[in-house]
Amino acid sequence: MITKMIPLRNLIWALLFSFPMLIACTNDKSQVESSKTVTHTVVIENMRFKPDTLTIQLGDTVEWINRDIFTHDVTSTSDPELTSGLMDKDDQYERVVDEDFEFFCSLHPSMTGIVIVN
Amino acid sequence: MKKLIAFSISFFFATGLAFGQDLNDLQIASIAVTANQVDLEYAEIAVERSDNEEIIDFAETMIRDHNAVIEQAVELVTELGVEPDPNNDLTQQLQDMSAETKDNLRNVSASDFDQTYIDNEVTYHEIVIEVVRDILIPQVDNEQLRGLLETVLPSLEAHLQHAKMVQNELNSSGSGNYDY
Repeated sequence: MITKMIPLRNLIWALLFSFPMLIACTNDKSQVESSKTVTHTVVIENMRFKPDTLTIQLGDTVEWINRDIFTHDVTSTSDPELTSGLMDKDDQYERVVDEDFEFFCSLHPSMTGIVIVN
Repeated sequence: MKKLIAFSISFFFATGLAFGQDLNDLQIASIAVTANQVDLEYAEIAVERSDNEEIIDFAETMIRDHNAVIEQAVELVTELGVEPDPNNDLTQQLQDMSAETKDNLRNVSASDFDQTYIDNEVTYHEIVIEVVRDILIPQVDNEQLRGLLETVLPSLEAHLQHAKMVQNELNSSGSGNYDY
């Protein structure tokens, strides 16, 4: 009887100690996962997206920064409703890209670019 | 339409003369501001007269972009403590010819307006690109003014491509989206 009580007590203690560690491990795992995602920058300058072709990993973030004196936007070619809205000088726009994203500036339609997701 | 062609030819001759004309930075600043102001005024007429969404969108972009250039130019001359010098052939030609073109844009029939406006935009941008690239930039001394002109050049090229897209759209019978 005694020999059965001791493992049970141990088991309770083990659970009490291991639970916070389990939580910590879970948190560590999510941090590792989030640290794997990368933010890529596309600079809008001299009426061009630089780079105009960008290859990223699934779930990465892309940020566009307008360095021109002119107002621009970042608009999906396939869905014009999907747009950054007007971006004045030094404005930024970012989004997590989870599929290939072809875009253009609706104010200057000759400005085009594409994000390719691996 | 004949007036516009005459405008283009006259302006072309003017720029041809300007190739042999020495320009100082104050004159170059004046030409740059005037060229932007002229197209801005064409665009204001277009917003007022056109019912075509693509023409209006294009014209609003012209107003926004040319205003941005003028603001930069004003900031620059204020910083340098100088005044643009309009006393040169090219500024005078631009002002004279723009008066004629604006008169034409205001008086052309409503049904011909969009085509007239966009045809003029294509021609105007082709010529202004040539002036900025081949006359103004090679002669400018001040580095900040050179920087502004070099910023303006790609915007003019983007405007030209945009104008050609709208022109093609008008020329085709359909009214779908651009072929990006």
